[in-house]
Amino acid sequence: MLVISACHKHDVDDDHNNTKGSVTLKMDHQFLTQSFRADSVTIYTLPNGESLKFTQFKYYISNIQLKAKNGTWWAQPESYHIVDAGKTAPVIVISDAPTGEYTDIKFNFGVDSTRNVSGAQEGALSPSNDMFWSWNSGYIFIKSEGSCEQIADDNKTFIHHVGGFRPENSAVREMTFNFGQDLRARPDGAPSVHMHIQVDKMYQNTVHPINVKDMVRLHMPGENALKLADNIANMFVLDHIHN
Amino acid sequence: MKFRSLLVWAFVPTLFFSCNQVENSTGDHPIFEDTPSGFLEKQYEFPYPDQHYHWYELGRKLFYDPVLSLDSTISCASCHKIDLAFSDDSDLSKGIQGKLGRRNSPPLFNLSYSPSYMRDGGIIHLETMPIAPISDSLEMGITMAQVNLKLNSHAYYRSRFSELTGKDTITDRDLLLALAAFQSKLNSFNSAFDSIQTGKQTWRNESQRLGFEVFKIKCSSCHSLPLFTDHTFAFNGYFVSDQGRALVTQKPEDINRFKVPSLRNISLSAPYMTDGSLGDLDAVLTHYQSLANKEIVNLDPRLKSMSLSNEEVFQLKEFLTTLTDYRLTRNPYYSKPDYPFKK
Repeated sequence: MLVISACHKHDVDDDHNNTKGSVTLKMDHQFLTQSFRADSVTIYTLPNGESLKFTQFKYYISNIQLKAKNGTWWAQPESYHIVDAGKTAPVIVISDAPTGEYTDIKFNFGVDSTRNVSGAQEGALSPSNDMFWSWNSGYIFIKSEGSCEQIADDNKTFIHHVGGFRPENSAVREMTFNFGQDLRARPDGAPSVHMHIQVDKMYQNTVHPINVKDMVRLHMPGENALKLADNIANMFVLDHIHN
Repeated sequence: MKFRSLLVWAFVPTLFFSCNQVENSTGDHPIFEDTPSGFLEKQYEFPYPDQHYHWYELGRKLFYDPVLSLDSTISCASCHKIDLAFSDDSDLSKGIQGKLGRRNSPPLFNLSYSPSYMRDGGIIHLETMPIAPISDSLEMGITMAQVNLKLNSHAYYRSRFSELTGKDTITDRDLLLALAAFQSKLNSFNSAFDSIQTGKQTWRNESQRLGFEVFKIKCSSCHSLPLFTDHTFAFNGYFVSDQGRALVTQKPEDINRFKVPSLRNISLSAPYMTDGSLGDLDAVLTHYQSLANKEIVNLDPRLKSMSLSNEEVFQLKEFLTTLTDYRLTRNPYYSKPDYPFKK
């Protein structure tokens, strides 16, 4: 009995002096002027003429921070989230933001190197989410999969898995956005941050334009993953907030 | 094998006692073993030392349980057999539905001293290591999400894990921690060679002693003491159709390079090489003898001046027999748990 009782964790971090509020990040995916969902059916056409269907489009957003009016940053603890653009209206809920007024938000695309090398993880980082390279350890930061009519191969499918945590091939990208007005986190309100994610910019009208038909398979960190990571950082735009 | 059966029976009462009376378990359980002096720093420590015994016993049960494969036919132990130092005697092991794996099953021991796992070193943490064989379609063929479902519908595991974690459900991490708790304690540093080194035993014959001298000069720059590997990646001149380390680094110079395997328990882990294509140590040593006359591109520089006489080969083989550790292969704490299975 002694051993078993020692196993239970005790929550010791309840701080009753500070109240908390919830902030919702609404992740609105778009493809040029179309609303986007990886639904395996809808055809999306890139400016280069390539027509794509997506069976999967999901990625990690991590280490979310909010900048308070006094200039200090609050970092969400255990801040790892999978955004699945195969689902309708995906959101990230920051349920534990201290009450206060904030001017900026900062987050990473991908998973920091520490969690890539720290053994078995839980929650969004659980290997059962199928976002982990088992034979070459590391998280898959994004899975973009589907078919492209212009691919020469008969099955027309593309698979782009981007990741890489080692310094020389780090695909982690940090992004900071100013709200333009104060965001008020509080127990009796539900402010939201509306992000536009312009999926087309992963491939075209972006830092490193890429023809999908020329990069059919990507399964590992390296040069191509770095290019796509630069493009991905270009996808995110803060549109507006609600208080 | 009278000695062997005596040894096993001597442990049995302790084993049963330990299972029921955990708090009183005695110091001969592997979790209580200290790192012998001269061994390298540990790369892995189980994160909950106070609970290690319980996680170990759960991990040990899971290691031998085919529940971790898609059709419940293959366990970790199917390809990592205790009497072969947790290796397999097939060149390529069979996974579910008789599918053949891509590489020869490596032996498992001293894993907590290794900075990387798998022959190409692609896996960098002991806890995440089992994800590869579990989810590989040629091995256990099941997704981590499916394993979760199976374990959570298994009353025995659910209650045992719940006792440890205080949670209602088993997570991937729980499974991986249990396997790491067990595998991190598969220690092998009790061979005849170790006893000779510490003065508890002497060489059985002059050939063994001379073989150690040959080893020190011609083998130990890669198979360095005390683990008999320096964990580097090297091309030993033996071509296999496998990119090796380059699969991890994508560097052309790493093609055909593989992690230097430990020579501990080498007499038990045949067949040899990444593809298991060399059936015995004679074939391996013949390969190394053959390097003397060849110009091989990218051959590891440490092998460039390799030459072995037939006499030296004989002595090396004698020496290598001293690296077999029966405290690994006959340790009842490492064997399939035989206490009654509770549903």
